[in-house]
Amino acid sequence: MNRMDTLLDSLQRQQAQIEDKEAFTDRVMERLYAQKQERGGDTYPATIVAPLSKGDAGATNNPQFSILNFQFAARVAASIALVVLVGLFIMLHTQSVGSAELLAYNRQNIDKYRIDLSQIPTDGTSRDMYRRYLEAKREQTFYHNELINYSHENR
Amino acid sequence: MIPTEKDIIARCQQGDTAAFRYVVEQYQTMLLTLGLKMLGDEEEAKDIVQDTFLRAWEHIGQYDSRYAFSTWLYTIASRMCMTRMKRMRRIAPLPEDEQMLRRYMNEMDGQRQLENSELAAIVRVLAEGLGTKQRVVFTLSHLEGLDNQEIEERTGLDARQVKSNLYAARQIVKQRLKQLGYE
Repeated sequence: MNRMDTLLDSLQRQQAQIEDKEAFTDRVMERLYAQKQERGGDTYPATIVAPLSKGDAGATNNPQFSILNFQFAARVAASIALVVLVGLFIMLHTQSVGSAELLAYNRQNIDKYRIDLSQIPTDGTSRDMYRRYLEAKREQTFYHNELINYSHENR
Repeated sequence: MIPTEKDIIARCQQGDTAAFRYVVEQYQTMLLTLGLKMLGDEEEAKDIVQDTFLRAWEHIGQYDSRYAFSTWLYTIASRMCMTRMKRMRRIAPLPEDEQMLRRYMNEMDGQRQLENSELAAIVRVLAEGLGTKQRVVFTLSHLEGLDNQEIEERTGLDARQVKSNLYAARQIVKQRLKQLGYE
């Protein structure tokens, strides 16, 4: 046996020292009681009365199994939530950009064809005024329809 | 009639904290030894022991009495140590740790019982440069005396991982001791 094996063999026999086992136990029990209080009193043990689910069947001697399962489920849920949030953000961002573009286009074109009553000569006949009004209104409607098409195509 | 361990565990499963106190008293040394050898830090090891008992209490309903209770506890502690190791920085030995190892090597024949801080110091020197899995399998194999099959069960690693990590760890520790002048 070389020196390394002798050392490892010797270390294997070494045990930790707990000077005051009573005090150490007290600390564990204090934490246990505190945890019980936090979780609403005598709720432990959580699983003894509940029948094991199918998924737990292979894990009866492996306490980490269910914990890991829970952690895994939590991770999956967090990932899904993140993906949904990112998707929502992208969708809202796109929509808001689209809306802003549409609004600018609206303003630019509708204003262009808006009837400015102050520009209509007051000395003209009412018939002539009405004809000009109708022409302007037609153009405005045409552009309005175009805007609707544009917004549908770009949504 | 003196209650058997099986009776005590059954009482724990019914929510008897007094019975669980007995469990804590019974197994704290075993778990602290494991924590100390795994983590090379007394305070971290004590934390792990406490966390292990709390985790055991929470899940004691899942304990299968066909297996040894100590094995069940040991498995929880081993895996908690692994998780803790991943969060901890790599073990960095203090300058005086090497001196501790040298003193121990010189007096090894005396089989002196080490203080916790001394044991932690030696572990830190040996574990320097080992990855998490290497440290786990090395500790369980060489410092705790488990065979490969037991290490697989305690850690969840497969046979190939245990074997390869153990080999690599052994080579690194060998090299480390060589650097310190021990062939």
